[in-house]
Amino acid sequence: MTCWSCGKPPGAGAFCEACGKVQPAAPGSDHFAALGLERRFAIEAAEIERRYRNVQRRLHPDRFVTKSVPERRLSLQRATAVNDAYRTLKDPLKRAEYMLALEGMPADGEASPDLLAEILELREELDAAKSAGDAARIGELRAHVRRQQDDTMSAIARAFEGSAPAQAAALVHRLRFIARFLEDASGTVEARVQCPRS
Amino acid sequence: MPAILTIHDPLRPTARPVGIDLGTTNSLVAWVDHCAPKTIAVEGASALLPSVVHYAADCSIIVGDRAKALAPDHPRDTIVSVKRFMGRGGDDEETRRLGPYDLVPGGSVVRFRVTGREITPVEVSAEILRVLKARAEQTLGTTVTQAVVTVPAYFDDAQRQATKDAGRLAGLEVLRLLNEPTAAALAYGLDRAAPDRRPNGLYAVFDLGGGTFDVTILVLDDGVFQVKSTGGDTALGGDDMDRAIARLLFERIGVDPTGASPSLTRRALDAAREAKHELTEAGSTIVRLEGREIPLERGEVDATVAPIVARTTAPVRRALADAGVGPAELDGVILVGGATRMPIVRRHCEELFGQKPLADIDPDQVVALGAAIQADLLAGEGRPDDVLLLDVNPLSLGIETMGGVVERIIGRNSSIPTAAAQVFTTYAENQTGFKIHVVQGERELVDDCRSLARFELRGIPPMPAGLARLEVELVIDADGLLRVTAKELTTGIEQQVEVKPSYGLTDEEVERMLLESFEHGSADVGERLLREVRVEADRILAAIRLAIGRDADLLDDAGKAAIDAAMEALEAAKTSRDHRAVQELVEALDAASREFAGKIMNRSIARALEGKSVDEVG
Repeated sequence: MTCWSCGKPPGAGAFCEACGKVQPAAPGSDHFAALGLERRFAIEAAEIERRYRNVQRRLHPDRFVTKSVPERRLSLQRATAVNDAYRTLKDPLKRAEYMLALEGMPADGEASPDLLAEILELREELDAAKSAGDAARIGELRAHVRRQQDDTMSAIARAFEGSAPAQAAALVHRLRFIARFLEDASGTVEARVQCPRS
Repeated sequence: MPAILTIHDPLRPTARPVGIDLGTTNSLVAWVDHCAPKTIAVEGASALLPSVVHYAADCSIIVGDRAKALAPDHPRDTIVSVKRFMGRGGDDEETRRLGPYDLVPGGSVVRFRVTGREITPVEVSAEILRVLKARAEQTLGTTVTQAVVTVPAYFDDAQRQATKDAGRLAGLEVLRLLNEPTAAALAYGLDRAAPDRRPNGLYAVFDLGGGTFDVTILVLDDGVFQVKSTGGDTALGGDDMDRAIARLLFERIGVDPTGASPSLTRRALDAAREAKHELTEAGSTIVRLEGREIPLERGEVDATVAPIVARTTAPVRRALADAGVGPAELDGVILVGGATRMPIVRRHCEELFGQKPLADIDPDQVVALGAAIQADLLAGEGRPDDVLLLDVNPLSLGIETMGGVVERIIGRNSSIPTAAAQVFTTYAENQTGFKIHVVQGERELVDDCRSLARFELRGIPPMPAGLARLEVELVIDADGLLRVTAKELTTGIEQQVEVKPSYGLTDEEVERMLLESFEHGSADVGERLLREVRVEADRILAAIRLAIGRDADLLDDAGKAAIDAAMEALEAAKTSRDHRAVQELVEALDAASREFAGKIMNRSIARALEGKSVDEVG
């Protein structure tokens, strides 16, 4: 590896260690690398936000307006990749799906009959509460499913840590149903998986 | 370039980028003067230039207050609130609302018939931009060629493109289309500029202007302004209130608004606007229209506009939900736009967010001030503070699939710049072409979304159905503008994509307008030349005075006398309206000072050879 500008070894960072010019992303680098994060499922939302802003602080095209054409192009490429990484990783469901894809594990298998039965029952209760205009009951159901969501996310984190992608895939499936349920229960287009604010 | 100016390169005023708020009702230009953004006063004392353009019978074009005064008597030839027509088609619902204009039906752009010719909103907006550019040049004493121009955050691709075209037509390189609420946040965030007390936190910007409504939720974190979500309505604003109040006035005088003459419609709209302004302070007012005196109470006007104000609720709720926050988490709510002065709007805003909004920067100026800051940042002159804007695209982008259903490719509120690709396949044997239709909007069906562009991919090698794989990539740049590329994956053939925009002007049309605007021997061209040459005159006069002050010893008496005479003549002629005469005197002064310039040049070279910089010696 040599720097496109000075020909010296650029080092591992986004900028050449010798001349300071922005470098293309390393071949095969993933969304985690784009934000300078370790590849793991359990990441604090605030940590993602912080990393994202710090990376963009240095790579955003607005920082390169007066620079040369290749630098501007590279900054645009890298900033676009960083935005893509941010969009994927900040949503726990998308993050889990992405990690499965990295493991070569298809994330859209069959739902287990148990999961289907559970979700169906919750949906019926939600519909009943909705048609009765029972806001308190809708709130209870949402809180219940939110807890399920938290539990599922913890389980997904454990599955990935324990190198059990097949187990993670099943749990991701569950997370997807939960997200869809919460979306319908909110009655608005509220965020798929509630992210705590940064 | 006169000799004396070329030599003294460090003295040559550099063209500086400005920030422009191209508003529905008023437009402003601002710049950053020693780290503080300032609006540039136009038309006497006010920085606000009414966004009104009058096309006179003698082909001259009048912009601003004078055009506004001409509107009641020339309702069809005077375009008010042109921003509402930007990027729209001739038959759009919004285009056809109550207004006095003579519109050409149909077409992918709105065309107004004025004094026997047809003009588009892009051309009208360019006239406003030209005036702002000229005023900035006059005030700053430099040429202005670059600008950051603001747009409503919720503007779609066609509306953004139209704004950029208007800039180009006015001779401005648009460095960035900046979202108005983001600009406002920038002005606010940097206003309390002492770095130790810059208020990091989560903010909402509530921007209700003359014609558009935007709400933006953003995080301010040590100089980074990150937009979390944005929502709005590009056809909602103070103008709607004026129309509602005008209808109320028509009712009072017993006139059917659909049968009213263009002139009466214009006067009713103006009277309505005036009443609205008065009722911001007063509890009641009297409107004069058609020789009648119509008393209006704030209460009844509030009741009339309440349904319009209520239309801000849904976008606010959605923006909060998209950002994943509740109103209680906000550290502040910023008000932008003239309509936020109305007590009913402030009350509504307070109810929505559960807190008193901030309005300490003039809501009419805050957007232009923010644009000036961004222009300064992009000019790369290196502000001491580490400021960066991270914005989002306001609307989802998708592609039409079978059955008129939208396949979403880039979701709304994605941070920009962004890119996303989708692979499509052929559905017929040996299919060699593929039609692609790009739409923008949140609805599931193509018919409910806004059509952005259609194009056809050709030259796909004949293959069995389902075998060809077409990758279509949508790219949104930092201006929020769309670009499309496509390639066939099995062969790797990159396809030439000809995007035909569904709305707006083609590149060729803009090019033609640009040429026409140069060719038109109309008064405004003369005016521009005059201003340019006056700026030039001031520059050379200043440069020569400076040179004389520094290198007077190089001048003999005769040379000094010749230069003095030429300077005096130019100084005297500067106020003349004949730009050619001024130009000739500029050239005469240049000729008179050429020998002096040569001597200065030699001295500079000699000093440079001695190893001292000119500054060091001077």
